Amino acid sequence: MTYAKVCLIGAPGVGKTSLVKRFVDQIFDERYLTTVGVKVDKKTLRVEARDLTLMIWDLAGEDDSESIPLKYVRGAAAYILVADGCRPQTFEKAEQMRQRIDHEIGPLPFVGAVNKSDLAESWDQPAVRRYLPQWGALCTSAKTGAGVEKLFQEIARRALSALP
Amino acid sequence: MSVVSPLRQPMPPDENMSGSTVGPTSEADFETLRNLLLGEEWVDLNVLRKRLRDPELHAHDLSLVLAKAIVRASQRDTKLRSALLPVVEDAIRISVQRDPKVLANLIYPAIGGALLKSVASLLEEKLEALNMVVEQSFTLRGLQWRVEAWRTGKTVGEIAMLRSLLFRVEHVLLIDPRTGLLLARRSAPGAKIQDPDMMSGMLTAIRDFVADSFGEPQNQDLQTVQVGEFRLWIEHGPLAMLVGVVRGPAPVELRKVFRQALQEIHAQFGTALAEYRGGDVSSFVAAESTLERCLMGTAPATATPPKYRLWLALAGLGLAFLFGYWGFREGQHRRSMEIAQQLNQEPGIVVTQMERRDGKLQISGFRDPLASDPSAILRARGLPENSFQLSLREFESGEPSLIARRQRAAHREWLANLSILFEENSTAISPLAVTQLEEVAKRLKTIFKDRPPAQPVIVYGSANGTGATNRSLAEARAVAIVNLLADLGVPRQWFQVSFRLSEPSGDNPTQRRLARRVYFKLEEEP
Repeated sequence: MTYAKVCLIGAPGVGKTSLVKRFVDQIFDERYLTTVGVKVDKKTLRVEARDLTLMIWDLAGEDDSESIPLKYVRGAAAYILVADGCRPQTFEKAEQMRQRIDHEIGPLPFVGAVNKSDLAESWDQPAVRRYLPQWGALCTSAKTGAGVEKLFQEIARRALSALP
Repeated sequence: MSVVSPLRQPMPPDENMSGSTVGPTSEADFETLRNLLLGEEWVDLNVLRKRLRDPELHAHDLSLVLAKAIVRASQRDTKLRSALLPVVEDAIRISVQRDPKVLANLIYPAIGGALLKSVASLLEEKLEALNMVVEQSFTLRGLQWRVEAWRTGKTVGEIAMLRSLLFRVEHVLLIDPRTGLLLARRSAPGAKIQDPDMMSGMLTAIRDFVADSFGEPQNQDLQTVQVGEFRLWIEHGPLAMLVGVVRGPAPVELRKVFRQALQEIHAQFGTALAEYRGGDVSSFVAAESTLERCLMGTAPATATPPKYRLWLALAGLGLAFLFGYWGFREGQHRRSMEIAQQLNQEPGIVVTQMERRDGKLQISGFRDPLASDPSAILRARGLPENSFQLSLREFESGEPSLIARRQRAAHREWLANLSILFEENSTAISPLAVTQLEEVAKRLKTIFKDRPPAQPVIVYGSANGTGATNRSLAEARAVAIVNLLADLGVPRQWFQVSFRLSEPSGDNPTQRRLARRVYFKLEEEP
C-alpha cells in the first residue's frame, strides 16, 4: 500500500471540513479542529492503477495567514488550497498562505478549490477570474458534492507524482 | 639602454607623438625583450601569479596541502588547537541554536546504548533485591515463579515483576514523525484498534501540538498518553517513533524493551527511514518481527487464584478442598467461556474480559453500534436479566457484513440529504443533475444489491407554488428523474412518484431555487 500526507488549507468558513466530510473515512470529532488545530481523515483512491491512501490533515482556518501552523504542513506531499467563491478576501488569504508555504517549506504541489459552486451566481467575479487560472483551480461544492471527487482524484494524482 | 629608458618613462602623448601609434609597438618590443631575457621563467612566473590571484585555483592548491599542514601544525605545538577551539565551540553553539535535533541525532547512536546500560544496571539492582524477597517466600505462586524462572532462564525477580503486574501490550506502531504515516504495526491476538492509520496521524499532530504549546523544551517529547485503561507509551528516535498501546499497569522495564526495538529498527532501516517522504511502506515489513517482540504481557486473568501455603496444600484435607474448589471454578469458567464464545461469534462484538463479581457475570469488551443486541443473545442463552452486567465500549468493527451495513447507512444518509434542482417552469435535467443521478444510481444499486426495497423509494417532485399546473410540473419533474434512473439501470419498480407543493416563496432567490427540486425518501434498513 502507498500512503501520502496531504493538507487542506484556507481561511475560516471556506468549507474545508465540509469538503472532506462526505467523502472520507472519519473517526475523529470536529472538536479536534478547535482544540488541537488539526484533524486527520483518510481516503483510499485508485490512481494510475495504484491504490493510494491519502491521510488528509484538515487544518483549522485562521484569519491571519501568519497563524497557520506550518508544523502540520511539514511532510505533506501536496495540499489543497480552498477559497470561498463568494468572499474575495478568502482568495487573498489563501494566496498568502501558499506563498508562506513556498517560502518556509519549499514549493509543494497543490490543487486550488473554489468552493460553494452551488452559489455560483453570488461569486465575486474579479477574484474568481484572477485566481481560477492562476491556481489552475477546480470548482467545488461541498453542499451538492459537485467536483469533490474530482478534487480528491487530482490531489491524489499530484501527491503520487510528488512521492519519491 | 636607449631602447628601455623611453619605455620605462613614457613621454606624455601630446608632447611627443600620438600614444596610439607608439604605445603598442613599444609594449610589443618590451614583451619580446622580456621573453628573450627571461624565457620559460617568465611563463612560469605568469602561471604562478595567476594561481595566487585566482581564488578558485588558490583554494584548490591549498586544499591539497591543508590536511597535511593541520597534522604538522598540531604535532608541532598546540597553537592551532587553541586557535580553532573558539571557532568550533561557536559553530556547535550556532548549530544547537538553529536546530538542536541535528546534533542530538548525530550522537543518539553513541549515547543511546550507554544510557540503556546505566538504566539496565539500575534495574538489575532492583531485581536482585526482589529476588531475595521472592526466594525467601514460600507460597504456591512463589514456587510457580521459580519453576518458570528455571524453565525460561530468567531471574525469579523478573518473572515476579512480569507476573504480578497484569498488563498486555495490545498494539505496537512504528510511525514516521515527519509525515505522521504508519510504517508498520503488530497487534496482539484478538486486540482491536479502530483505524491505526488515522491514529498515527492524529497522535503525531497531538505530539506537535504539545511540543508547540510547551515551547518544545529539549528532549521533552510527549511520552505517555493515558486513555481510560489504556496507556500509550511513546518512544522517540531521530527517524521514527514507536508507540505501544498497553493495557493494565505495565512494568517500567517495558520501556527498555521498546527502546531497544526502536534502536534495532534505526540500525536496520536507518537509510530507508531517513529517505522516507511518504509512499510505499512495504520496505518496512521486515520491522514487524522486531515489533512483535514488544507484544509482551498477558491479558488480565479472569480471576485471581487464592493463595495457599504449601504446608496446607500438602495436607490431605486441604488437597481435597483445593480440588473441590478448582472443580467449581472450572465449571464456572467453562460456562463463562461458552457464553463468551457465543458473543464473540456475533459480528461486531468482542469480549475481552469476563469475571464473576458481586454474584454477577461481568462482561467487558467492545460492540459496534450496528451489531446485534448482546443482552438479547444472553437472555436467549437462558441467562436471567439480573445475572450479568455488560460493559461494552463502542467501536467500529472490521467485519465485512458490518462494513457493508455501515456503507449502506452512509449511502442512505447521502440520498436523504440530496436535492436535484430544476430551472423555473422546467422539467429539463441539468448536466450537474445528470452527474448527481449517476451517483444516485450507483448508491441505490449498492443499498439494494442483495434484496430489493421492501417499501418503494419515494421520489418527491416539488414546485414553487400550489395549483394544478404546479402539481403537474412537480410530478413531471419526479417522473423525469425516475426515467433517467431507469435508463441508468435502476429498476423502475423500486420507485414511487409523489409530489410536495409549497406556498410561493416570494422574492428570495435561494428559497425559490430550493422549492424547485426532487428529493428521495427511503425506509430505514430493518
